[in-house]
Amino acid sequence: MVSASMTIRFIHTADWHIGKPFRNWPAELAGELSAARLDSIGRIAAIARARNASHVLVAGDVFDSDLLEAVVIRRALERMAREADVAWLLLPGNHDPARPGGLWDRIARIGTAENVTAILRAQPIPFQRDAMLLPAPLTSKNPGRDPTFWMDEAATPDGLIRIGLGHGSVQGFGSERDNAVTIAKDRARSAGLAYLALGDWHGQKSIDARTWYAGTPEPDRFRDNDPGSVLSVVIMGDGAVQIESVKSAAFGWAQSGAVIRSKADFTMLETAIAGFGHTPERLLAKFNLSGSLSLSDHASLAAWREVWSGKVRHLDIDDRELVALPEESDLSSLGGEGALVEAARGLQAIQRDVSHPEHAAASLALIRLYAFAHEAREGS
Amino acid sequence: MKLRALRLKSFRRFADAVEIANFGDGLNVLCGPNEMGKSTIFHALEAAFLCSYKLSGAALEQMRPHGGGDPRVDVDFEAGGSLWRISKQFGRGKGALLFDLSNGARQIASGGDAEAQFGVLAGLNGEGPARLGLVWVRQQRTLLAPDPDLDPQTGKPRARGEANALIEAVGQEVEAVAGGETVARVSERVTAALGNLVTRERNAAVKNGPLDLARRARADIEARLIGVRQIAAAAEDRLRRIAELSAKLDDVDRPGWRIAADQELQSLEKEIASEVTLRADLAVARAAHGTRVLEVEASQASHRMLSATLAEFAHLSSDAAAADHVTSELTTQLAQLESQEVAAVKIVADVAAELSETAELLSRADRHALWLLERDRVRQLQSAYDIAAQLEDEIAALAAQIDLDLATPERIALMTAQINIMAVGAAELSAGAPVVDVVLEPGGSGRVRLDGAPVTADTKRPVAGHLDIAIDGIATIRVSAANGERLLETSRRLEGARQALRDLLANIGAPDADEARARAAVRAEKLAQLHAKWAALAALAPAGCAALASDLQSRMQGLGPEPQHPGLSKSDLQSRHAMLVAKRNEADRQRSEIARAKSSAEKQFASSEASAIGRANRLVVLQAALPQYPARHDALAQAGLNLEAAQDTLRQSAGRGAALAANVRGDESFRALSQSLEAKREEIKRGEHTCRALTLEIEKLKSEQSAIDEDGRAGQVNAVTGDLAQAQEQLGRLELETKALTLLSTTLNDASAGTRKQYLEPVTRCLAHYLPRVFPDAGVAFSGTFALDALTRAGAREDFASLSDGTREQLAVLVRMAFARLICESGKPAPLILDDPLVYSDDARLDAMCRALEDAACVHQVVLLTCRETAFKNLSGHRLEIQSWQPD
Repeated sequence: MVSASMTIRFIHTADWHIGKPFRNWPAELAGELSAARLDSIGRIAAIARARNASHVLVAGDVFDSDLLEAVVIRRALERMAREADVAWLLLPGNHDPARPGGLWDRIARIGTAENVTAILRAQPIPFQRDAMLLPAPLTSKNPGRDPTFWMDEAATPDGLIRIGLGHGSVQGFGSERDNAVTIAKDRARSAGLAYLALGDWHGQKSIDARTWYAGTPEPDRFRDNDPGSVLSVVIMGDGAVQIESVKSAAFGWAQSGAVIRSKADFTMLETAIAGFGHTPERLLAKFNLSGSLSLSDHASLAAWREVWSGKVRHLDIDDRELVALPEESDLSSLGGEGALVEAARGLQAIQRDVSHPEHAAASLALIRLYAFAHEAREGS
Repeated sequence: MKLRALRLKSFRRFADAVEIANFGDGLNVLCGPNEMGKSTIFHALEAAFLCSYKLSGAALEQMRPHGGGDPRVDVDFEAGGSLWRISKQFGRGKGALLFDLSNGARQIASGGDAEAQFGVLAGLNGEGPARLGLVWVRQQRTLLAPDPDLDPQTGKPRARGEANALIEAVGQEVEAVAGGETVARVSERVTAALGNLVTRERNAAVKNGPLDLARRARADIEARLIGVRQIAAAAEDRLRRIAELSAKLDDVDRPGWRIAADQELQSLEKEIASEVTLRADLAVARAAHGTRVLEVEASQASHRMLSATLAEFAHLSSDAAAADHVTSELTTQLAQLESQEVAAVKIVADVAAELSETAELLSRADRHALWLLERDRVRQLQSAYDIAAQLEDEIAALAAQIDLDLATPERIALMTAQINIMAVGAAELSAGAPVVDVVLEPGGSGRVRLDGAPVTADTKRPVAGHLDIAIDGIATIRVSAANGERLLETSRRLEGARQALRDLLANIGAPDADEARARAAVRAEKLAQLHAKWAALAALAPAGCAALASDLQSRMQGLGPEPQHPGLSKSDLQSRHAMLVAKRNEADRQRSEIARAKSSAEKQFASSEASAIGRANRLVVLQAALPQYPARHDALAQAGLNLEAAQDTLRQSAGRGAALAANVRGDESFRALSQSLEAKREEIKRGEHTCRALTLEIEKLKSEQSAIDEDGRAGQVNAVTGDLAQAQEQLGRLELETKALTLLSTTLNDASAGTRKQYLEPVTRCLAHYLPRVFPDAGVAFSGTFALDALTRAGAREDFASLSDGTREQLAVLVRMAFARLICESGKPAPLILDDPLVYSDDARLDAMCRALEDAACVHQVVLLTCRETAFKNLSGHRLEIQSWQPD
């Protein structure tokens, strides 16, 4: 019989992916991003303290791989140990499955602080005073079955709240498309769970009132699925669940698409940056540009990019869909008539002909022609 | 600008002051022989227009005449509608003066100012000869391409302001069309940017350039990625293997399996132990039963032995009585046989004596017969000896006769040979020798001598060699044969044969050859008789008569007296001897038979005796072994009782064994039980071994994995993949940049080529006035810098350098003419000055060139300096004259 006075508080997080290399980013930024992932442990601990939550449930993919360098693992364990007043319950996910001889064996050899628990077996664990935790650790990258299936039949003492902890994609939810680990979407109901804490979907997502993806506390890519938070969960004695999403990310990742026609539209980009809601020096912004610009405006875009790259932490502009379109003013600036204009027109013809093998290069060639011509005039 | 007069003093060829004061508007021709000073005229013009009066050093020295002096050049020229004079003094007293001749020869500037103003008037812009360099062509320079800004001294590019002069001449609007310098700069930048990425020649990435480095970086990262992927794959494989082995170990080492197995093992071992005990008891019972059986067998044997001993004793006692009777009979029989043997021996002795006597008689009869045979042999030898002795006598007589007769076959043959020689010689002489026939007259005998021998009767004398015929008191006549030497030799041989025949006949003792032959026949007959007697003698006495006599003598001595005859014939004796032999054989047979019977009886007797002794001994032994009578029969009964008791014990033992055997498993069952035990033990052992092996393997893999984990390389896949993505992106950017720049370069070149055509149009238009005169239906190709690239004829392009000297020279002059026309059209005309051009042209081309020059002279001033008066005799124009000049 569940006591109405009991309250269970914990922080639900997942997909830390500690050790992710970010090597396709500039080296300096990659280091910062990696460091931010480790630092998120401290931030999560602070969030837990602020909300009187003694436990943090990490629903899988604590580490980016189970073949990480030992020092990376030690650093993460050390960070958690340092937050000694918080109990960290770590669940192996598909990136760091609990394989014999694998990462969790290494962690066992290294040894963990008392406040750090690796959950390696699918069996009920007493959780706080009034609950039982039903974890579903992954023991391989592709277990081939629903790791939470056992929860339905799992016996727990009467009167204790059942909390599920799993990692995988919920069936029928979009996240399972590329994932071999699928979880029944009504597992919380069928297993009598008061709450099912899930990981794998890097964004924050509610499947139903009792089934949540916490998302990654520190985003690692430009995706519009609301990452960068943890969930503060409170389960009341009557089974009611209170969820609070708390921002935890150090860096803001934001991307936006924009159709631009002239340099006047650059203000639209500036407005978008302001609207991302992050401090510029911690903002990683990406614009997917389409539309067309005159050659002079394209040159202006390069200048604008240079300016704004200095204002935000990182600015990525994907202009593959942005066409450099010579205008009469461009041609006039090239001399009105003559070889340069003839060349520009020739390139423009190639640019318009999508079947031309040099079609893709023509835009850049136009941009270069314009830039060189102006440099030549300025130098003469 | 037009030249009007040139004056010079102390300038190279001209130490004295000279002038050409008659330059006309159009074509001006200065013809003169070599060393006349034509090139000096050209150089003087260059000195006036292109050299500063401050010139010094080697350049100044080149201007000075051989005898020394300070060069001075004055040029009167027309420009801007006025007549001007520039006067330059080089070397000592150097200076420049500019006069306006249209206004009373007023000096309007001097020194550098004069040169500066003169430059403006002459259209010079301070960058070198400029347009004058385009139209003033030194001697032998017409073979060079007429390219602007090409140094006439070295033939290499040099900034001379010529191209700029042309650009100026073709007009500012053309510059706008072509893009001019901006295009060139853009092209340079494109080329530079592209050259930073790829090589111009092969379009390959520049070594250590950004593209090359990006490609190499990507390749390096790809290789690194392969490496770390392999490591990661190995780690994944190892982890998978560890998981598999762990699952297997869990399966093998499942909880409780060992306890259950141990319990099963103990149960089996207990069962086996119980069975083993039972089997041991059974074995003991069976051993006891065996002992009982042996005891029964021993009792039976004892009973049997006692029974047999008693029976043997009785039997031997009975045999002993029978044997005594037989021994008695044998004794009697032996006595009879001994008496018969004595009688038989006597008969044999008697027959032997009789047989000996008969043999002696037979021997005597044989000796008598032998004596008779020997006697007959002696008689035959005596007869043979007598005949042989007679034959020996006859042989000796015949041999003596034959030896005395010398008519031997050898001599007869020699004689016959000499006769033949003589016959041949006589024939030769008679055939070849002259014959002297001497017929004596009465009283002439002896008075004639032939070879000294007096002739006493008529004679014919062949002359062999020569013959001296001497008639005493008269003369000696020598007759010589024609073939005297040969005849003389024949005569000598004939005489030799005659002498030999005579000697043979004398030796044989015959008067002539016939007698000799008759005697030889008689001698041969005697010889045959002798041989016949030798044969008869050999048959009778092969060893000779003496040996035969010796043999006879020996036999006669050995014969001795006649032996005594035995009285009976030998056949009778032989019959008697045979009868006695048969009798003796019969007696021997009877005696042997008796001996055998006796021996047999003796053996029977001995055997009987031996049996009796053995029996007696055995009886003694048996009596010792047996209890004394009558206890013998009680012992046998006791043995029977013992046997029955042993048999009872045996039966009890068999009952116990059967009871045990009923509780013991069968062998098959026991073997199955043992096998179950072994199988269980093996199962446990195998399980333990598998567990150990799996544990070891897992630990080993974990250890390997741990090592891999520590170096962290397996976890580098994501990192290196990121590196690769970045490298790929960088390379993609550079490759796109390369493609874009390549495309830009190509497009720009194409566009420039199009505009260049417009750019060059004025030049080609001007050239079109002259080119068809010399090269009908031909065209020329220029580069963007007005450099002449090629001649195009009948659609075929011929590079300028590949053309003949004459064609190159003609083209160069034609292009210079085009330049001069273009400059003229631009409003700043300059005279075309050619120093000794067209030296390689054929007559037709030269004539065509002359017509073209005449055309050009209609537009601007032309000055032609040439040493080939005849060649240019048909060239119209004003002939220049060099005259003495009296400077101020």
